[in-house]
Amino acid sequence: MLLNTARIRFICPMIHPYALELIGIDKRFGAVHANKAISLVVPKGSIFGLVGENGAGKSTLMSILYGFYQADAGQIKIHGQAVNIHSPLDAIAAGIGMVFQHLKLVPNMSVLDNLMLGHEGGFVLAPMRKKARVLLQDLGDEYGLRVDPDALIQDLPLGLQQRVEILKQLYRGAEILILDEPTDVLTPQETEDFFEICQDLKERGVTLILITHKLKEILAVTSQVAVIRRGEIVGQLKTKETNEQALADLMVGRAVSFEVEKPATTFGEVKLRVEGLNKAEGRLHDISFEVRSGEILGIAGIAGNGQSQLLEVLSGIKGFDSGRLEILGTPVSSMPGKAGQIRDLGVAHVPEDRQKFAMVTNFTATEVSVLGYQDRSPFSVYSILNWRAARAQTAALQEDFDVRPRSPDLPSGSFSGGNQQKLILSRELSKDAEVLLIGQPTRGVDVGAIEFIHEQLLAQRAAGKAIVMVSVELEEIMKLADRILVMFEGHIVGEIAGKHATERELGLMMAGSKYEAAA
Amino acid sequence: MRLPAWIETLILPIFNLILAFIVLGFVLTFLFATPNEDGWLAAPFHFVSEYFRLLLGIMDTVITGSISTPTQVEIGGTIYEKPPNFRPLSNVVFYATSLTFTGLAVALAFRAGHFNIGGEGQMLIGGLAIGLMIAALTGAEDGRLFAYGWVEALGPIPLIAFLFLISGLFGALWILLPALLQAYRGSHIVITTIMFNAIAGGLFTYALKIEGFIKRPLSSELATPQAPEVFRLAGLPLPSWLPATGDNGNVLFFVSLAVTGLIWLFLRQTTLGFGVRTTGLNQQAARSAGMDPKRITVIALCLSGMLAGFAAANHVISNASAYSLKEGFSAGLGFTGIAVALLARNNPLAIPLTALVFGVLIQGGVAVQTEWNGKIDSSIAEAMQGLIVLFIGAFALLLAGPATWLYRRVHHGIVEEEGER
Repeated sequence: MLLNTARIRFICPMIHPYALELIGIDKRFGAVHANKAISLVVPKGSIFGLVGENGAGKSTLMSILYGFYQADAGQIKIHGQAVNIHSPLDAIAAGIGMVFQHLKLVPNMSVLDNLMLGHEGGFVLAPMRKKARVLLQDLGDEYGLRVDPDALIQDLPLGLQQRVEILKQLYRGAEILILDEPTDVLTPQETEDFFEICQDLKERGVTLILITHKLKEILAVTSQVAVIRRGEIVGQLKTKETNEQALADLMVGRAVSFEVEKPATTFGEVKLRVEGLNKAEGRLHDISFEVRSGEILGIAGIAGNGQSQLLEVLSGIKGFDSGRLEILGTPVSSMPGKAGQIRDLGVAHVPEDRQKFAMVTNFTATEVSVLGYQDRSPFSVYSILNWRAARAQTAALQEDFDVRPRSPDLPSGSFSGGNQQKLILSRELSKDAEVLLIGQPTRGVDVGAIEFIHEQLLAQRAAGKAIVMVSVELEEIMKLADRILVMFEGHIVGEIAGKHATERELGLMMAGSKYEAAA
Repeated sequence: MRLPAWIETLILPIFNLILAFIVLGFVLTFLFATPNEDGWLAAPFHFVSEYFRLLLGIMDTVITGSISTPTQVEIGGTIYEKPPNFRPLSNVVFYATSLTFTGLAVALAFRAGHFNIGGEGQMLIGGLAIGLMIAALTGAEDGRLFAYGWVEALGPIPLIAFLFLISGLFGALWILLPALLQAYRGSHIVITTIMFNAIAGGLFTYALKIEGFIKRPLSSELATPQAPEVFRLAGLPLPSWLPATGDNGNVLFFVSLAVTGLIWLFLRQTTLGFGVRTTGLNQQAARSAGMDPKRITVIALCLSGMLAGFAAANHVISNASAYSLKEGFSAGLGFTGIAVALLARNNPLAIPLTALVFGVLIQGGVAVQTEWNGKIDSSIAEAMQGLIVLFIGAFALLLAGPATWLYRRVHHGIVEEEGER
């Protein structure tokens, strides 16, 4: 039915029970044994979960399946037929589609043109456009995925963009869809929609492999789940017969505690005060709040509703148009480029995007742990850097924060995501700052490290620090924050005490319902 | 998996260099070989022998020819012995000194994330400043300059320090406007510095044409007058272990080495240098670390211009350029600095070494011209430079794939025994 003439068609795919079988897949990268004889069977027309910590080998496995790497040993069978996958083209021909975490769409092109990308069918686009429009219509009807074919990708919300990406895969004839962390960028409501789409696809015989670290989602939608740890499959379970705790323990290899002890603290004086803050460029409107010592203020919201800009303003990277910002009683000027000055007032900042704002991936761990504090003793005296002292302190911090490997001289970019985050946290939390600005404390961080980071944040709270925490993980905010502010389109649209918050209420506020009702 | 650093920075460039010479051999053979009557296909052996004769011959000429003049001269069938003259080596060191400065200029700008392509112009403006300064400190008599008494009394070392200061200052000033435009208005530094090269060239030539300014009096040549003795380090006693090249100006190579060390220390050991490196790799991280990337960009680029300006001082102090600055004296040294920095992978410590390599190639070209009696053009040395830049710069990773494969094969067994991390 579809365009891929070269594509392999199997004689009786309906009869064979398994869409995908991996038999003894083995892959090494030098000293690292990324996949150790992995065997998996994925039943046809099911949603299959694959979970594992960062670096456990799940992306290697999926890369082998999608043809980015070749396995050293082992076999891949699709609908019972052995296939050789040497490149993504082979994978597409075999009916495998991959939806990456960062969608591979061209933002300034229409939905239709994005679908055609790579299948233009000749020098002149018009005939293929016509065909593609019909096919898109058919696919939309068949799977209930409706999108305006002429809309530009950049004008669509992320949830719809993802839908386009899925359509693109179906359009190319995918029968097995690999979804890599699909819900990271979605709102709770969009996530629900997304899972409905998954169910629809499943009922129409598409096989879905869902890679995620959100165990709740695995439990909600999958029928089977495989856990991968250190390159090995440590369990393939029926979802019905397992639970969150069991999966987490399997992933990490030890008992993980989900419940954090949050002892009651008494809030002290106001450390950070924001009054009527506006910034046209960053779309911040009339932001006011206070944070007291011993308090964690959580800022919830769907990514892109002003939280990032707020953090940038609070940390002094960006300026603001009007309003007032007071840190430890000292008013701060509205000019941009005063991150150093604000640090000196006693503010530590863990940016949301660590690789972009908090580190230089080519720098060694030692150089990264000097970044931002380069003008302070013991790192420098009269502008001359003291690398020996810096290295010693980095080594000590790596010990305290359990950074692995404990190597101050390794390029910071070669640490795993969780260890990079620990490196940054160790740098910022060790300076005894009174105010902590923390963006996405556990983005891209493993289950084991999440537990550790949460403990650290609560320890800072117990030590009487004032903490502002921005996170898109509702669960995390509800667990840690004493108070939660919700941001929508640059406004603060609601405030709830942490212990009274429910996911539903927060989700509604994040989608702007309350704000719209009021307006 | 990545290759260990020593393979990537040492072994790979050496193999790339060998590849460049293999290709050079073909260029030479196709251009200059004595043809065989039966054609190449009929006499493959002739091709091979010509290939090696020309390649090895040229390499021999370039290397020996950049050390000393020939010790045997053939005149009318008889061979005469001649004492060696180390003039060529002196010239190599002269070029290497200028190239170290211009190479450092490019490398420093690169570390700040910018491509200063204007070394040429900064060098010319540095030269203009030196010309003006010398004109101010001297009087002219019968077309020759003499230093005023009080200048003479200062002695060469403070004067030469002052020469460096002034040429560096003007080199820095010449990039200030492009740097400010880049940092605060986003005008691309490559475009502005190219334009500034053209302006500098025009300015310098124009200055040389005005009577009584920096022009050599009573001469039609577009050049500054020869600097008086006191500017030439002539009175400086040299240690006996230095080769007697007849040019005290070569001492400046040690100055360039010292400057190299200072730049390395600056980048590694100072907070400002740390800021430069951070800005060069990740501006946003620099901003959130409380640095000011715009200010740092301007400072780094001005330092870069200063280094390029230094190269002009070398030209006034050295015998190799007859102690004067001719029209267009920069002669591509500013551009060759880009190749020098590229070859050194922007590592300051490697720059004097790569500058020497290019010094040898420039001087070797001259030797080719004389020794091959015009049968082979000296421009072959430029082709050689081009091939080296192409293979070590643009094709830097040509051999990375095979090397990784080989390294894995060799090391697989060892890795196996070390076990899993």
